[in-house]
Amino acid sequence: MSDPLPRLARLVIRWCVRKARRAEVEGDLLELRSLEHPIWRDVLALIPVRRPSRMLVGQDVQYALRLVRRQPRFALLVAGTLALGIASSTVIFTVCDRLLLRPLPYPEPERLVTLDRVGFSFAGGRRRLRRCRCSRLSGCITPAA
Amino acid sequence: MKGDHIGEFEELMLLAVQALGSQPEGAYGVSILLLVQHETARNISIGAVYAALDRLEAKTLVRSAMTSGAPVRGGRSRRTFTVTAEGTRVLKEMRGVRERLWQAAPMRPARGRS
Repeated sequence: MSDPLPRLARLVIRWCVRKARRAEVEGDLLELRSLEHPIWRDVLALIPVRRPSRMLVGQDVQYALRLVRRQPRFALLVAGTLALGIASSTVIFTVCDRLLLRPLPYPEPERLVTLDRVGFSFAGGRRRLRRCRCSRLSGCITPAA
Repeated sequence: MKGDHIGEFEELMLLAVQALGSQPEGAYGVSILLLVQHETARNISIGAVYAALDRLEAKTLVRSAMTSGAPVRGGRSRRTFTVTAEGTRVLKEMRGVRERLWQAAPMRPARGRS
């Protein structure tokens, strides 16, 4: 007995081929594979292109599916490029969101203010802040010296 | 139905079924695919073969029957095709048309560029 077809190929056959013809199609693909004939193009060709024609964009979908079937490597390249672009945009947005947009992890972050130009160095700035004892500031956070 | 008219690919399929009819295994999807691929040096998918054979069967130019499977097919059955009398008539008619056209348009030796 020959090895079974890959799982994805069996799924395509189950979805796209009438039950009465599944055994015939599976047998043909098994025989083609035993002859070292690449079967993926044949498996893709089993996907019907007329099914979405009732949709408003039916012809576009039909044309796109036909091109994917005809040039699967190019379609894979395009899909990979899109995936890379979407992934990089997502990473950049996530980093910006965490660092710039979300509030800082302190209680009542909306009350935080930034004091600028209070000293030449951080240590000097902390000394000046301690000296000023401004009653409106409830606390002071300075980087560790 | 477009009458007796068949396209180029359907004609190839019909001829392949006719040619493989004398073979012991008969004409079925894989044997038709391999024969047409070999003779035309075209990359053909099995789905295109099924579609063309379905159209030919709908035009009653071929008929199909299920036969027993083989170990290389995992025991799965195969659908073998035979050309009907109508199919043979269409093939002969198309051959006649082509031969008459070839006689009407004899090939002249190609002129080389100087």
